Order: sequence, then C-alpha cells, then structure tokens
Amino acid sequence: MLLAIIGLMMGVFLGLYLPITYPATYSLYISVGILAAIDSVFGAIRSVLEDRFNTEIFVSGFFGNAILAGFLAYIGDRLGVPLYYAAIFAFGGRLFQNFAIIRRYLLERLRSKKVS
Amino acid sequence: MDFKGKVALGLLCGILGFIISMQFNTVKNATEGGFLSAQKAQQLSMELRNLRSEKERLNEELTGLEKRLKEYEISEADEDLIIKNLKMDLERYQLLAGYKDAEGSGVIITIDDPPSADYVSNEEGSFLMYNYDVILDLINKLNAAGAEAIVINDQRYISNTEIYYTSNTVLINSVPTRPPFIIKAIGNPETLEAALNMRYGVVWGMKQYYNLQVNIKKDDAISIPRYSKVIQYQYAKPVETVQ
Amino acid sequence: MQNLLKLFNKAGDEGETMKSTYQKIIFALMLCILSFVTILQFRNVVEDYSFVSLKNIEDLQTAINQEREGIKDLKELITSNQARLEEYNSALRAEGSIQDVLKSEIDNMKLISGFQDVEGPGITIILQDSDRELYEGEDPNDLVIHDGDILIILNSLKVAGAEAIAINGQRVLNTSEIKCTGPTITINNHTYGQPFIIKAIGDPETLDAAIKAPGSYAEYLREVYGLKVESYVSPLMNITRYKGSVNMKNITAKEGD
Repeated sequence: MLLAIIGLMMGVFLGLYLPITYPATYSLYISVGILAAIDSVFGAIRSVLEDRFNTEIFVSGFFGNAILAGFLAYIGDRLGVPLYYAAIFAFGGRLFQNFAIIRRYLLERLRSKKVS
Repeated sequence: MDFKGKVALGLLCGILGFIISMQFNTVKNATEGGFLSAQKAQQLSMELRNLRSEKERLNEELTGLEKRLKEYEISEADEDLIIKNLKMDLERYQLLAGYKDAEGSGVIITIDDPPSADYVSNEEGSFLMYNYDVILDLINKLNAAGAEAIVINDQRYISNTEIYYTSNTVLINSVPTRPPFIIKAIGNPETLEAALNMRYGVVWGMKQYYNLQVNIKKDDAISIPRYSKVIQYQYAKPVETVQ
Repeated sequence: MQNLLKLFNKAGDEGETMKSTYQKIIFALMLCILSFVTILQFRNVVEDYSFVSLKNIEDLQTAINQEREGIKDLKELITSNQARLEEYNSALRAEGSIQDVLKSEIDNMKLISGFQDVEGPGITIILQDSDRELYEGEDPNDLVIHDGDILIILNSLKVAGAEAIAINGQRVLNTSEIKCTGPTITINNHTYGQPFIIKAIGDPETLDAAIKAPGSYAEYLREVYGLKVESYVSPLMNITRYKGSVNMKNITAKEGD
C-alpha cells in the first residue's frame, strides 16, 4: 500500500516538473485514456479485496483499455461521431460500480474488526 | 461457418469499410484536410470574424462613396429641372434593376428542411438544397401575386439571378448559402400571403409532399439589400430602338 | 489512519493479499504512470471540447465563403462607384453639367433591367408537348409542359450565363410570372399557344451545353417524357425590351445609413 502511494506521488512530482507537453488537439484522447486507466486501477483495488488480483490482467487492462479508448475517441473525431461517449459511459459506469463494491468490502471489514 | 456465412460476412465488411472511408472523406472535405474538433471550429470562427469586420469596413467605404455621388446629384438637381427628372428616372431604373436598397410592405417566408433525421445530412446534403426547384416555384407564385422585389437569404433576385446547387451549398448570384432560406418579397402583403396560403397551393405542397418547415409572416416595413455585384453584359448589346 | 491502511493490506486476518513485492511494485508503477499523465493533462491548457458536429463546420465554412464573396462584390462596387464619381467630376469640369453622365447611367440601368432591346449571340429553344403514346400506367399530365419545367430551364440558362431571355417574344424579368396551362403559356399577362419559343443571349456554347448535355433538365424531358425540345444556336439574335407596365406601388428606394 505504501509503495502504491509512493508511486502515485512520484508520478505527480514528475508530471509537475518534467517539461513535457503534447499538442492540445490530443488532449481529448488522453483524457479518455486516463478515464480508462483509472477504471483499471479501481478494478485492481477491487480484485485485491476479493483476493483475485492478477498482475497480467491489471497491466494489460491498464494500457489496453487506455489505448483503445483514446483510439476510439480519435476515430470518432475523424468520422464525425462522438465515439468517446462510449468510452465515458463504459469506463465511467464500471468505475462507479467497482467503487461501490470496494466501499462495501471496506465497510464490512470495518464492521468485522469492530466486532472482533 | 458455412460458405454463405463467409460470403455474407465478407460482403458486409466490405460495405462497412466503404461507408467508413466515405465518412472519412466527407469529414476531410468539410474541414479541408483537418478533422473535427472544437479547435477547428474556433479557427473558422475567428476567420469568419475577421472577414466580417473587413466587410464592415468596405461597406462603410461604399456608403461614403454613394453619399458623395448623391450629393453631386442633389446639388445639380436643385439647379436644373432636367437633372431632377433624370435623377428620378435613374432611381426608378436602379430600383428595377436591383441596384438600390429598397423597402416596403410585403411578406417574409422562412423555409427549412424537415426536422432532423428524415434524411442523411452527409453526402446528400440538405433535401431542400437538392430540390431547389421548390424555391423557383415559390418565386414564380410570388411574381404572379404581384411581388415587386424578392430577396433570398440577402441575395437580391434579379433577372439574371441563378440558383445553382453544387457540392453541399446553394449558389445564388454566385454567393454560397445554406438553408434555412429566408425569402423576403415586397408587394401587397395580403395578396402575397393569400396567394401562398392558397389551398393546394405551393406552400401546401411544400408542407405536404416534402415535409418542409414553412413560415409566412406579413410585414409592413421590409428592408432588402441591393444586388451585390456589378453587372457587365458580355454578349447582349443594346440596339437602337426604332420608335 | 494506520488502521485504515491495514484494512487494505490484509484480507481478513490472513497474510498479504498482494503476495509478492513484484505485484506491489507493478501496482505502484501503474499508479505512477497514471498520475503522471493526469498531471500533464492538467497542465495542458484545456479548452472546452464540446462536440463539434459536421454541420457546424460546414455552416461555418459556408458562412466564410459567403463573406469572401461578399467582400469581392463590395470591392467591385466601390471601384465602379469611384469611376462614376470621376465621371461626374470630369463632366462638371468639361460641360458644367452631369446630364450626360446621368443619361448614360440611365441607359445602363435600362439595359440590365430589361428595358432595352438587345442583340447578340445566343440560343433558341422550341418546346412542345410530347406526341408519343402514353405508356402503361402513365399520367397524361406527364406528357405536357409545366410551369416548373420552364422555370428550371430558365434557371439552367441563367446558370449558363444567359444575359437576356425572352419567351415567345416576351422579355423575362425577375418579376415575370409564368403560368403553363395545358396548350398555352401566360407570361407578363400575355398568353401564347404552343410551340413555346425561348430565346436567350449569352455564350452560345455554354447555353447549348445547358440544353443538350446528358444530365441536363432538357435532356431529361426529352428522354423520359418525349417532350419536344429542339434548340439551335445563332451568332446574332434579337430580344426586345420588356414592354409591359411596371408595378411599383409598394416599393421605395431606401436611402443609405
């Protein structure tokens, strides 16, 4: 857990201080990719709580979903249809779903700890 | 998968690929090489704004020139009855030729495509643009009801005015425009409105057969612009009239 | 706080769920990447990217083209007005009166408004109802010339650059109405029987193409309905001026701002 938080903070640090930018036209695609990645992370947290964590699935989902989402948004721009909505609904929905399940697990553990 | 299934799959994939590439091309053509994004829209908006302000400036220059011409004519007319009559004559023919802004009572007609998804708004463009003969018919009916001057989307309709449909725009007097079409006609408002709203008349037909959205409004003070170009005949030469 | 973290670390009271350090490192790495990109995204100046539809872009493009055309026209108008101002000036200097300039302006206006006889090269089109037999299930109305047909042909001629048009000798103005009632046509309140003869002055080749080209409306009338559409070009033809009365009861000139 601690390692995870360290990783998070390092990423923030790097992001703030590294002079990397990308053209604003791509920002939509990156955003959708980020959403997909966040969903992957939530899914990983959930699987940790369910004792089912699988590294391969996590990493492949992380990058795979992000790339697919970004690609979909790009294709949507070229086709003139807002395909990125699909990514938003799919990943956003799953994200909240996973979050609800995570909450349930945590609250249950909290309760069981209190009891014991 | 049996053979029929494979063929069907192949065919459908082919159709899908075809449609996708057609759509790509449409977007590419519409945005002239780029692809859709709010950025592109902003670029275009800015360009539009610049063009509009240049047009403003030119308009002012033109008004200034016309004022000076008028001053000449007025000052000369004050001194000379002949000039005064000539000036009146000139104004009359300018009006008839469409070279002068005009105003008067009449009707304003707004025509738009049928609402949303009755048609594919990509290759085909708008239904109304494609069937521009509906507009020709409307103009004819207005003339029959005594219209004295007609304007379509700010383009004065004069004797040489053409309506030309090409690649997703309609050119009127060589100026591109798109629906909705706002047609102003100067004449007797009651007569014009009655002629349009006649049972089984042209507006009835537009609504009935084409499902177009048509709106007619009478107005007592319609203002219409002059014909925007300078006309120079290249083939028709005046002939001395034998009285 | 510490307890909360411990909740994550253990599944119940047993050992670590994320068994290996490897897994933990991977997880941390992913989080690192995620937060990195997110921060980058924040730093990027993000404008509103509400979806821009194809129609918006097309409308903008058309509006731009419209303005461009308008600007071009304005420039020409400015030039011609400047020329007229010059003429007035020189007329005043030379003759002391702008009479002649006014007269020539009036003649010019008469010319372009259809009140002047003109001559020039052009095309003559002769239209007549079809006299072929009706096909099975065909409406007899289809073999007859309608207003719409004439209107479209006139429009095609204008697209092809016709400068003056007359039907059966009647000059066609922008205010002319055309009523086709069976065997007769009424234009400018005069009625004529068939054949309908349309004359147009302009570039003979372009006009000819407008009537003869495959895909033209005239061709369509000829092929599909068998209407008689004949045409021939000539290097010189005569079209008389509009001779009717002009109704100007409701219109007045509007003085500039």
